[in-house]
Amino acid sequence: MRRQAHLWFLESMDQVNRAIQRTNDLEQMMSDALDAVIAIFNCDRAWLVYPCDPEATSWKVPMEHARPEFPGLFVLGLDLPVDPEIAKVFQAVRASSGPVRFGPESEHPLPAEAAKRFSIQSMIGMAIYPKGISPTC
Amino acid sequence: MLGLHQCSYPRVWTPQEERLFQEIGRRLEDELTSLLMFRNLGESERKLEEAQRLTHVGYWERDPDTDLITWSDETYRIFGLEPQARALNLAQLPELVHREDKQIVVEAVAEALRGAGATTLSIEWSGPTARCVSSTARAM
Repeated sequence: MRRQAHLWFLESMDQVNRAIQRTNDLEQMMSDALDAVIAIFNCDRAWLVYPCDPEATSWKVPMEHARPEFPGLFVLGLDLPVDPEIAKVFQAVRASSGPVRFGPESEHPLPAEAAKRFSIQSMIGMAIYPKGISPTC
Repeated sequence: MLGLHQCSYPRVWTPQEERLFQEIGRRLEDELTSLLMFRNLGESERKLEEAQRLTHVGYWERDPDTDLITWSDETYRIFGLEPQARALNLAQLPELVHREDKQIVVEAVAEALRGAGATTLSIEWSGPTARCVSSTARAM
């Protein structure tokens, strides 16, 4: 069982690496990587949010891949206000050095309004800090 | 922030999934850093090229191991050549200046190679129209 889990980990990383290395174009790389992530986790939506800043006035989704039945914010092309619930999500993610789970069996509830609007039943997120852009990704 | 949604059922993310997600996030962070730097470098090069074009200033450098001289596009234009038209070595450099200035170039290059600090010289281009070129070289 442990060996199988390790194998799955290695195969998944290989899948992501291959998606990343296919191109030098930033947008295409992220698009391919998000596709791979959806396939690996068999989830419904993979996305990048910017800025991940509880003090910001708004947030947006610069890139997102989703199953057709669950389109997200990217399709709408909107900037949304950072309301208190979203601010809590950003705070939790930035305070953690690893992924943060939201929803079932987690200490962090889903942001109710966003969950309702985008049919979210579970969520996992982590802050990433690429050098060269504002550290609020 | 990188994130995943499960909309079709209330999923509980396992520790293995968390670990993999974290590793993928770090991998993407590294790759985004590289590509952003690559993009910024390209942008800086474009700005440098544009600044050279506007001010008619070019740069050149010689690799002592290969003796090849790399010129910026504007340096080619200053010497009346098509940008990146041909590779040049040090011996070919005096051919491009007025015959009376060839010795000046040879001596200036020798001085720069001795590491005598910045060497500045004014030379005349040997092309069909009169042109004075000022060049500063420093061994690094």
